[in-house]
Amino acid sequence: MEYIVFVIFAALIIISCAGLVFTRNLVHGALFFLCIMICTAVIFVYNQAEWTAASQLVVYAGGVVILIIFGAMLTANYTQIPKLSFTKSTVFASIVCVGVFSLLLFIFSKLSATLSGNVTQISQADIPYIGTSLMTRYVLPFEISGFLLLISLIGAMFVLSNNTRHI
Amino acid sequence: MLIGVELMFNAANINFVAFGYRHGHLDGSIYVLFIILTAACETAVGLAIILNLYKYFKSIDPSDVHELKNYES
Repeated sequence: MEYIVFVIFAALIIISCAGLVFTRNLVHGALFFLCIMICTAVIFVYNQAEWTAASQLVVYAGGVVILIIFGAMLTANYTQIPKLSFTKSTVFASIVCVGVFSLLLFIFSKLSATLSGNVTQISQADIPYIGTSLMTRYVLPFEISGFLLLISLIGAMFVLSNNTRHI
Repeated sequence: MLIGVELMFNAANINFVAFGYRHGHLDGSIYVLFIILTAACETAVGLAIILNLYKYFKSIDPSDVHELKNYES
């Protein structure tokens, strides 16, 4: 039963990724992106990471998708991307993508042969563990990421602000 | 292009969570938390840059953007 749910949502992720890559409309792309994020949160729940799924929903489905839709609509006459032209770089990029994909497939097939059968059960609930380890073991990355968030917001405001000052 | 970067972040996130689940500890979730936070920062700054580029070049196609500074003015 759980496996069927996993397969359904993984297939939905793959279909939405293909739709995102091949759509010619930025807003449709953002909606495909939202679908991908929700399916990813479902897969996080499947892997017993409920808190990560919740933060995925809040940050991506709530924040990043809204930002992308804003960006798509503020650059208004550009929501319709012109037809993709087939150039030399397209061939190169597809060769690289197929190579990386087959390499990853090879590595994961090797890994699943060695890993099969021994799932270690997670003993404690994840939210108390994440809370305590954010405040003990990972307190420095936690503070640094808070600072990074602050300076990126200030930097985004500075970049967007209408300063007529010549630098 | 920006959405593609986000997709790659998500693939890495799924891997972190899946391998953490497989090995029975939860540190993968914490790494995923930091990755999500960095991706949110990156999206904010990237969108600001894209809007500025649109104001300047009237286009967000990367092949139209070919100069960092306007040397005429």
